[in-house]
Amino acid sequence: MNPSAGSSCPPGTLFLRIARLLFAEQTISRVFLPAVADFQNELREASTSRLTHLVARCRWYWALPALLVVTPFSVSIRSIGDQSSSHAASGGWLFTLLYVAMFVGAWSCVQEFMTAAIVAGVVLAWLMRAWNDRHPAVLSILGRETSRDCGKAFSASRPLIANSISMR
Amino acid sequence: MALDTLPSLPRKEQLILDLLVAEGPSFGLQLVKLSRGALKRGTVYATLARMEAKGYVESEQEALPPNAIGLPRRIFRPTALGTRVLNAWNVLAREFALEVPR
Repeated sequence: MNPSAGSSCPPGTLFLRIARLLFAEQTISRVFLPAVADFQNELREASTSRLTHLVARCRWYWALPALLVVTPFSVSIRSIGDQSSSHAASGGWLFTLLYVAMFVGAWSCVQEFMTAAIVAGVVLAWLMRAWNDRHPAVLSILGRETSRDCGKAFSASRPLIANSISMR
Repeated sequence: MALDTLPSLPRKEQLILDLLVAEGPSFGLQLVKLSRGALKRGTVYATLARMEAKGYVESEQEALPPNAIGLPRRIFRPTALGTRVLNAWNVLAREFALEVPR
Protein backbone atom coordinates (compact mmCIF):
# COMPACT_ATOMS: atom_id res chain seq x y z
CA MET A 1 0.00 0.00 0.00
CA ASN A 2 1.28 3.41 -0.86
CA PRO A 3 0.25 5.95 1.77
CA SER A 4 0.74 8.89 -0.56
CA ALA A 5 -1.19 7.34 -3.42
CA GLY A 6 -4.24 9.43 -2.69
CA SER A 7 -2.52 12.80 -2.96
CA SER A 8 -2.71 14.59 -6.29
CA CYS A 9 0.73 16.26 -6.14
CA PRO A 10 3.96 14.42 -5.43
CA PRO A 11 5.41 15.26 -1.99
CA GLY A 12 7.57 18.37 -1.93
CA THR A 13 5.64 20.21 -4.63
CA LEU A 14 4.41 22.96 -2.32
CA PHE A 15 7.86 23.29 -0.80
CA LEU A 16 9.38 23.76 -4.24
CA ARG A 17 6.78 26.39 -5.08
CA ILE A 18 7.75 28.35 -1.95
CA ALA A 19 11.47 27.90 -2.66
CA ARG A 20 10.99 29.20 -6.22
CA LEU A 21 9.57 32.43 -4.79
CA LEU A 22 12.64 32.94 -2.64
CA PHE A 23 15.61 31.65 -4.59
CA ALA A 24 17.25 31.85 -7.99
CA GLU A 25 16.79 28.99 -10.43
CA GLN A 26 20.42 27.87 -10.07
CA THR A 27 19.94 27.49 -6.33
CA ILE A 28 16.69 25.60 -6.87
CA SER A 29 18.32 23.14 -9.24
CA ARG A 30 21.48 22.68 -7.14
CA VAL A 31 20.03 22.64 -3.61
CA PHE A 32 16.29 22.14 -3.48
CA LEU A 33 15.58 19.78 -6.38
CA PRO A 34 18.13 17.17 -5.17
CA ALA A 35 16.65 17.39 -1.66
CA VAL A 36 13.08 16.93 -2.86
CA ALA A 37 14.13 14.14 -5.24
CA ASP A 38 15.75 12.27 -2.33
CA PHE A 39 12.67 13.00 -0.21
CA GLN A 40 10.35 11.50 -2.83
CA ASN A 41 12.63 8.53 -3.34
CA GLU A 42 12.84 7.79 0.38
CA LEU A 43 9.05 7.96 0.68
CA ARG A 44 8.75 5.56 -2.24
CA GLU A 45 11.18 3.13 -0.60
CA ALA A 46 9.35 3.45 2.72
CA SER A 47 5.92 2.91 1.21
CA THR A 48 5.75 -0.72 2.38
CA SER A 49 5.55 0.23 6.04
CA ARG A 50 3.25 2.92 7.33
CA LEU A 51 5.48 3.64 10.33
CA THR A 52 8.69 3.97 8.29
CA HIS A 53 6.83 6.17 5.86
CA LEU A 54 5.65 8.42 8.69
CA VAL A 55 9.13 8.63 10.22
CA ALA A 56 10.66 9.54 6.86
CA ARG A 57 7.98 12.16 6.27
CA CYS A 58 8.55 13.71 9.72
CA ARG A 59 12.30 13.82 9.18
CA TRP A 60 11.90 15.60 5.86
CA TYR A 61 9.26 18.00 7.14
CA TRP A 62 11.83 19.07 9.70
CA ALA A 63 14.75 19.10 7.24
CA LEU A 64 13.19 21.00 4.34
CA PRO A 65 12.30 24.18 6.26
CA ALA A 66 15.77 24.02 7.83
CA LEU A 67 17.23 23.88 4.33
CA LEU A 68 15.17 26.91 3.39
CA VAL A 69 16.65 28.88 6.28
CA VAL A 70 20.23 27.61 5.96
CA THR A 71 20.62 28.08 2.20
CA PRO A 72 20.80 31.90 2.03
CA PHE A 73 23.64 31.89 4.54
CA SER A 74 25.47 28.84 3.35
CA VAL A 75 25.22 29.07 -0.44
CA SER A 76 26.47 32.59 -1.00
CA ILE A 77 29.36 31.66 -3.22
CA ARG A 78 29.26 33.07 -6.68
CA SER A 79 28.58 30.99 -9.72
CA ILE A 80 26.52 27.99 -8.89
CA GLY A 81 26.21 26.87 -12.44
CA ASP A 82 26.20 30.42 -13.77
CA GLN A 83 29.29 32.63 -13.66
CA SER A 84 27.28 35.77 -14.35
CA SER A 85 25.09 35.55 -11.28
CA SER A 86 26.58 37.54 -8.44
CA HIS A 87 24.76 35.57 -5.77
CA ALA A 88 23.48 32.06 -6.11
CA ALA A 89 21.02 32.58 -3.33
CA SER A 90 18.85 35.57 -3.98
CA GLY A 91 16.56 34.87 -1.06
CA GLY A 92 18.85 36.35 1.59
CA TRP A 93 17.36 39.82 1.39
CA LEU A 94 13.86 38.42 1.35
CA PHE A 95 14.59 36.49 4.53
CA THR A 96 16.01 39.60 6.18
CA LEU A 97 12.82 41.47 5.27
CA LEU A 98 10.81 38.57 6.64
CA TYR A 99 12.64 38.77 9.99
CA VAL A 100 12.08 42.54 10.13
CA ALA A 101 8.40 42.03 9.30
CA MET A 102 8.07 39.43 12.06
CA PHE A 103 9.77 41.76 14.52
CA VAL A 104 7.49 44.66 13.58
CA GLY A 105 4.45 42.38 13.64
CA ALA A 106 5.22 41.10 17.11
CA TRP A 107 5.97 44.56 18.43
CA SER A 108 2.35 45.49 19.11
CA CYS A 109 1.70 42.24 21.02
CA VAL A 110 4.76 42.09 23.24
CA GLN A 111 5.86 45.69 23.22
CA GLU A 112 6.71 45.92 26.93
CA PHE A 113 8.63 42.67 26.96
CA MET A 114 10.66 43.58 23.87
CA THR A 115 11.41 47.06 25.20
CA ALA A 116 12.53 45.58 28.51
CA ALA A 117 14.66 42.96 26.73
CA ILE A 118 16.35 45.58 24.52
CA VAL A 119 17.04 47.91 27.48
CA ALA A 120 18.30 45.03 29.63
CA GLY A 121 20.54 43.83 26.80
CA VAL A 122 22.04 47.28 26.26
CA VAL A 123 22.63 47.77 30.00
CA LEU A 124 24.19 44.32 30.33
CA ALA A 125 26.46 44.93 27.35
CA TRP A 126 27.51 48.32 28.77
CA LEU A 127 28.21 46.79 32.21
CA MET A 128 30.24 43.95 30.68
CA ARG A 129 32.25 46.41 28.63
CA ALA A 130 32.88 48.61 31.68
CA TRP A 131 33.94 45.59 33.74
CA ASN A 132 36.21 44.39 30.97
CA ASP A 133 37.85 47.81 30.67
CA ARG A 134 38.57 47.88 34.39
CA HIS A 135 39.68 44.26 34.66
CA PRO A 136 41.51 43.30 31.50
CA ALA A 137 41.16 39.55 31.28
CA VAL A 138 44.20 37.34 31.27
CA LEU A 139 42.50 35.26 28.63
CA SER A 140 42.23 38.14 26.21
CA ILE A 141 45.95 38.93 26.62
CA LEU A 142 46.77 35.27 26.14
CA GLY A 143 44.37 35.17 23.22
CA ARG A 144 46.24 37.99 21.50
CA GLU A 145 49.52 36.13 21.95
CA THR A 146 47.96 32.86 20.83
CA SER A 147 46.48 34.47 17.75
CA ARG A 148 49.92 35.87 16.89
CA ASP A 149 51.38 32.38 17.30
CA CYS A 150 48.58 30.92 15.22
CA GLY A 151 49.36 33.48 12.53
CA LYS A 152 52.97 32.33 12.53
CA ALA A 153 51.95 28.68 12.45
CA PHE A 154 49.53 29.34 9.60
CA SER A 155 52.08 31.22 7.54
CA ALA A 156 54.55 28.40 8.20
CA SER A 157 51.98 25.86 7.05
CA ARG A 158 51.26 27.63 3.77
CA PRO A 159 54.27 26.29 1.86
CA LEU A 160 53.41 22.82 3.14
CA ILE A 161 49.92 23.00 1.73
CA ALA A 162 51.18 24.51 -1.49
CA ASN A 163 53.84 21.80 -1.81
CA SER A 164 51.46 18.99 -1.04
CA ILE A 165 49.01 20.25 -3.63
CA SER A 166 51.64 20.78 -6.29
CA MET A 167 53.09 17.31 -5.66
CA ARG A 168 49.86 15.64 -6.78
CA MET B 1 46.14 23.31 -11.92
CA ALA B 2 47.13 26.67 -10.39
CA LEU B 3 44.72 28.28 -7.95
CA ASP B 4 44.29 31.94 -7.08
CA THR B 5 43.76 31.32 -3.40
CA LEU B 6 44.55 28.58 -0.94
CA PRO B 7 41.71 26.05 -0.91
CA SER B 8 39.79 25.80 2.34
CA LEU B 9 38.26 22.59 3.62
CA PRO B 10 35.80 22.91 6.51
CA ARG B 11 35.05 19.82 8.57
CA LYS B 12 31.74 18.96 6.89
CA GLU B 13 33.23 19.31 3.43
CA GLN B 14 36.13 17.12 4.46
CA LEU B 15 33.73 14.48 5.72
CA ILE B 16 31.73 14.60 2.48
CA LEU B 17 34.88 14.27 0.39
CA ASP B 18 36.06 11.42 2.60
CA LEU B 19 32.77 9.59 2.09
CA LEU B 20 32.67 10.22 -1.65
CA VAL B 21 36.25 8.99 -2.08
CA ALA B 22 35.66 5.93 0.11
CA GLU B 23 32.19 4.95 -1.04
CA GLY B 24 32.12 6.26 -4.59
CA PRO B 25 29.48 8.49 -6.20
CA SER B 26 26.53 8.99 -3.85
CA PHE B 27 23.23 10.80 -3.50
CA GLY B 28 22.81 13.45 -0.82
CA LEU B 29 20.65 11.22 1.33
CA GLN B 30 23.14 8.37 1.05
CA LEU B 31 25.84 10.68 2.43
CA VAL B 32 23.59 11.56 5.36
CA LYS B 33 23.06 7.88 6.14
CA LEU B 34 26.73 6.97 5.66
CA SER B 35 27.86 9.78 7.98
CA ARG B 36 25.90 8.24 10.89
CA GLY B 37 24.47 11.51 12.12
CA ALA B 38 27.38 13.81 11.31
CA LEU B 39 25.56 15.21 8.27
CA LYS B 40 21.97 16.41 8.38
CA ARG B 41 19.32 16.36 5.68
CA GLY B 42 18.66 20.05 6.30
CA THR B 43 22.21 21.15 5.53
CA VAL B 44 23.93 18.57 3.34
CA TYR B 45 22.44 19.83 0.07
CA ALA B 46 23.55 23.41 0.75
CA THR B 47 27.03 22.13 1.63
CA LEU B 48 27.16 20.05 -1.55
CA ALA B 49 26.11 23.06 -3.62
CA ARG B 50 28.87 25.12 -2.02
CA MET B 51 31.39 22.37 -2.69
CA GLU B 52 30.26 22.17 -6.28
CA ALA B 53 30.76 25.92 -6.62
CA LYS B 54 34.27 25.49 -5.20
CA GLY B 55 34.96 22.71 -7.69
CA TYR B 56 35.40 19.95 -5.09
CA VAL B 57 32.50 17.82 -6.32
CA GLU B 58 30.53 17.44 -9.52
CA SER B 59 27.05 16.10 -9.99
CA GLU B 60 24.65 14.81 -12.57
CA GLN B 61 21.03 13.75 -12.56
CA GLU B 62 20.28 10.08 -12.56
CA ALA B 63 18.48 8.73 -15.59
CA LEU B 64 14.89 7.89 -14.75
CA PRO B 65 13.03 4.98 -16.30
CA PRO B 66 10.33 6.10 -18.78
CA ASN B 67 7.31 5.61 -16.49
CA ALA B 68 8.97 6.72 -13.26
CA ILE B 69 7.15 9.19 -11.02
CA GLY B 70 8.95 11.98 -9.19
CA LEU B 71 12.08 14.03 -9.66
CA PRO B 72 15.38 12.52 -10.78
CA ARG B 73 17.96 12.38 -8.00
CA ARG B 74 21.33 14.10 -8.25
CA ILE B 75 24.41 11.96 -7.78
CA PHE B 76 27.64 13.53 -6.53
CA ARG B 77 31.23 12.49 -7.14
CA PRO B 78 34.56 14.05 -6.12
CA THR B 79 36.51 16.02 -8.71
CA ALA B 80 40.27 15.77 -9.20
CA LEU B 81 40.62 19.08 -7.34
CA GLY B 82 38.48 17.82 -4.46
CA THR B 83 40.58 14.69 -4.14
CA ARG B 84 43.80 16.73 -4.22
CA VAL B 85 42.54 19.11 -1.56
CA LEU B 86 41.48 16.18 0.62
CA ASN B 87 44.89 14.51 0.21
CA ALA B 88 46.65 17.79 0.97
CA TRP B 89 44.49 18.24 4.05
CA ASN B 90 45.33 14.73 5.24
CA VAL B 91 49.06 15.42 4.74
CA LEU B 92 48.70 18.65 6.71
CA ALA B 93 46.74 16.91 9.46
CA ARG B 94 49.38 14.20 9.74
CA GLU B 95 52.16 16.80 9.78
CA PHE B 96 50.60 18.56 12.75
CA ALA B 97 49.44 15.27 14.30
CA LEU B 98 45.89 16.50 14.32
CA GLU B 99 43.18 14.11 15.18
CA VAL B 100 41.11 14.17 12.02
CA PRO B 101 37.43 13.77 12.89
CA ARG B 102 35.64 11.07 10.92
